[in-house]
Amino acid sequence: MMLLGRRIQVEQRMAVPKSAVVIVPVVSVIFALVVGGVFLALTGHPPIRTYLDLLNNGYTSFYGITDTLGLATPLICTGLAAAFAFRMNLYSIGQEGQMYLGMIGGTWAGIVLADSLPPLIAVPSVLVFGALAGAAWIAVPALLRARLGTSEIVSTLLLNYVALNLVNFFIFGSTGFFRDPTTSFPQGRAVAESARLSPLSLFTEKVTNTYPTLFVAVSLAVLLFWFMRVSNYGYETAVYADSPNTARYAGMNSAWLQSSVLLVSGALAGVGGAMYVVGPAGKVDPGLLQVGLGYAGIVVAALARYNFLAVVLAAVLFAGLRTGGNALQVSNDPVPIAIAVVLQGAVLLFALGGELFRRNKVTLVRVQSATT
Amino acid sequence: MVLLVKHNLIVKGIRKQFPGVIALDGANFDVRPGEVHALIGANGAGKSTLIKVIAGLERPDAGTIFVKGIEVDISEPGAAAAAGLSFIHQDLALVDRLTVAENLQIGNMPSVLGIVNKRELDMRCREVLASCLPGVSSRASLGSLSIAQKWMLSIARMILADSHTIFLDEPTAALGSGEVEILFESIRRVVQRNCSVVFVSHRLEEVLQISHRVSVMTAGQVVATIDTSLTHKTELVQLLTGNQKFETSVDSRKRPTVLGQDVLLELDGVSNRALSNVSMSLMSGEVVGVAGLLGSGRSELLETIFGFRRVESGVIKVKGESVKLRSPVDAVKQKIAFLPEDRKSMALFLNRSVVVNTSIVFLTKFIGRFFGLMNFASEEKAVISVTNSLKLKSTGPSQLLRQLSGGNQQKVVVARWLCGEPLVILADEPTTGVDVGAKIEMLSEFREIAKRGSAVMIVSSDFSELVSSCDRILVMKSGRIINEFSAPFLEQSVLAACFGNAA
Repeated sequence: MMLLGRRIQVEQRMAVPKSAVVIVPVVSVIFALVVGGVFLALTGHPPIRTYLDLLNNGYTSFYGITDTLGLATPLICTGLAAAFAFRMNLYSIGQEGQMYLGMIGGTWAGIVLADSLPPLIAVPSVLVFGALAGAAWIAVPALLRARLGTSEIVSTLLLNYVALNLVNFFIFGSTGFFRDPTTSFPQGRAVAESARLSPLSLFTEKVTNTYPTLFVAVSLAVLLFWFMRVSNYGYETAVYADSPNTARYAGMNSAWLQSSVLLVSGALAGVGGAMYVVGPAGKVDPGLLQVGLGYAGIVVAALARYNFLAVVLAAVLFAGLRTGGNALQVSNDPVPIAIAVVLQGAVLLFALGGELFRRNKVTLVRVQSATT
Repeated sequence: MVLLVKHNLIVKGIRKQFPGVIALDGANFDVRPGEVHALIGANGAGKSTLIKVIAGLERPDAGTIFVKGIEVDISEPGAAAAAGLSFIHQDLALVDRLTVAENLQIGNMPSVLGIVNKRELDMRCREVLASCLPGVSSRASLGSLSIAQKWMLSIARMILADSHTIFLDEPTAALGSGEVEILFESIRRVVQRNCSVVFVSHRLEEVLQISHRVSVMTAGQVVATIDTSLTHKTELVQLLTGNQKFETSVDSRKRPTVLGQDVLLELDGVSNRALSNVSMSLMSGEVVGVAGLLGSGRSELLETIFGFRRVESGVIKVKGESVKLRSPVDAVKQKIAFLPEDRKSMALFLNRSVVVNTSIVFLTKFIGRFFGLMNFASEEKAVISVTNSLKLKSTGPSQLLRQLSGGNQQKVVVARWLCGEPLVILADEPTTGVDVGAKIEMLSEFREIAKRGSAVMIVSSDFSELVSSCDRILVMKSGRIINEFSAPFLEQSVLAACFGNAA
């Protein structure tokens, strides 16, 4: 590209400087805010004040941050799910469906098993069954990918719609196991009380939307971060992603690596769904379907560059934009939710664009003639 | 130097420093019109950097380049082409689905409103085709050409683009010996047009056969440019290795006369799409060569044993037990190792360290007691011990593979398999892109591995390499083993067998 007689030269960096890892994301977010600010100004909302409102409603006020953390909890799980698969170049976008299945599986365990169990066991068993259901939902795409090389992108995406309709069917379309038998109103059957957690009150009298499952989600992130660095499994998957061809010629078991990574990814998303069961929902709740946290997990993973610890931060950032954006709608000077969505989009675009600067050295050089 | 000769290219005092290493240290190089100039040098001597500088892919720190007597500034690839310099690499950059003529004129098709004028296309190509590829129609599809012909087509394309100096990067690496001859014929015709060819190769016999002059690089400098007619192989090897005394081959008489008697691997009537009724066996302590022309099934034989190709009929036995090898995973379990020909894309994780590349297949050996967690200390220790035994030259176990020379990269691949104490090592062209010194080291390492009780099977297009390093040579043709020789053998008879001239 030419610019004022100079050429923009993009050179791949041999090694990414440490500072770029921090600077690039921060600058990306700042740029996104500037672009969002232009949008706000154009639509007649004072940018600075709107941002302060957003900050307050999304992050700094008590209810703002607790709502955000509550929303971030399952988002961390779907983000981890996406990051886990993506870092091995497996582009599963089935987190949404696996999350629904996690909710279904967790609810089943919460109804059938939890009654006779103390909460200390009942809650984990709901989460485990959620994970199993999530993994089961990706089992077929995983097998197809590992055995036949079928694109996991398409198969996982299509199963999202199947999962969505499955949930709708359980609640609206049938009077089966998951439907509340005590009322004709279409709603899910509640799980046993022992399978529920109460929200965190954070040493106050207030009722929040943050559940202790937040700690589970963060622990999962820390555990994955650590395990993938010190285990031979983490080692093999990372190396495999570098050159699948080489891995094949070295006799590495690619079918096992691919399918296991996809199954774990599904399980992580499933846990996210089950967290709704032990947390706010307590049943199969189609209300969750509008949230779209499965797809948002992909965005979070991309923002975090597939780093499991960064997923936590990215999930909180992303959730805050959403809770803050929701709150702006009902403020004195209502800002349409579309603006919040524009902001989210801008953050993602700039974060991904920032990758160019992280990987490459971009310089302006004076254009010289080929021969002198 | 004759002053009256107007050189196509003169390169003077090129210096190029990379972090930590001086790749070029005042290299001088020149090309006269109408000559074949061979450029040889061990890996890491600076050959490829020099070519990259001339091609405009690397900026030199110092030095000047003259083309036809005029100083030029080649700061980008386009400038090199504009100056009449062109470079043909092994991937050739041709399109299989197009015709010969279309390939010649890619990017420059005569067309009206996007519709190609085929007659005009043929006209433009006729003359250059007649001299480079006699007997090949301009309308022939590229797929019907042999690899040697594809090289010639690439050269013809450069001539059409008004190149006067054409660099060929190891053009014979993928050619059988018959094809090499065809290519050389055409190269000789091309230089009669006053085009010059720079021939980059590791194969000294070919260099001696085709070139008019030969330049030898070591340590970032061109240490000698000699008229080929005034030199011989021994002298070139001495120059290449810095006057070090060097035996060019592993002496066959030093081999143990009694080999182990354990049959490690046995194929009994194995057939599939590429092989028909192949029976053979490998004994412990043996180094066995597989000779044959391209397409004879020699690589496919290795791939079948390593589980890449399905065995349709027949049996493979490891240590006397019949085994099913459905994938390389099964082969690795049977302690079969494989060194693929295309190291870069099939054998190496280029952006990973020596440690990772060495340990990756047998990671479970380095697992500590808890939950499959790695014991990094024992891993590194094991890697260092095995790479030291192979005399790997690297800055340390954390050096990235892409920073190593071809020979050292190959050593890492060997080290990887040695971690698993293999019974059988299958090596497909193990010395391509490996310099002369490392080549000899590699071959004697195979001998060492065999002495420790394994068997090694080498596929190679370099007959002298097979003859000098193997106990037996199997000759393949159209998927069959048609002949077998035992040491000591004559290179000529193996060669003749490959072409099907001998019984």
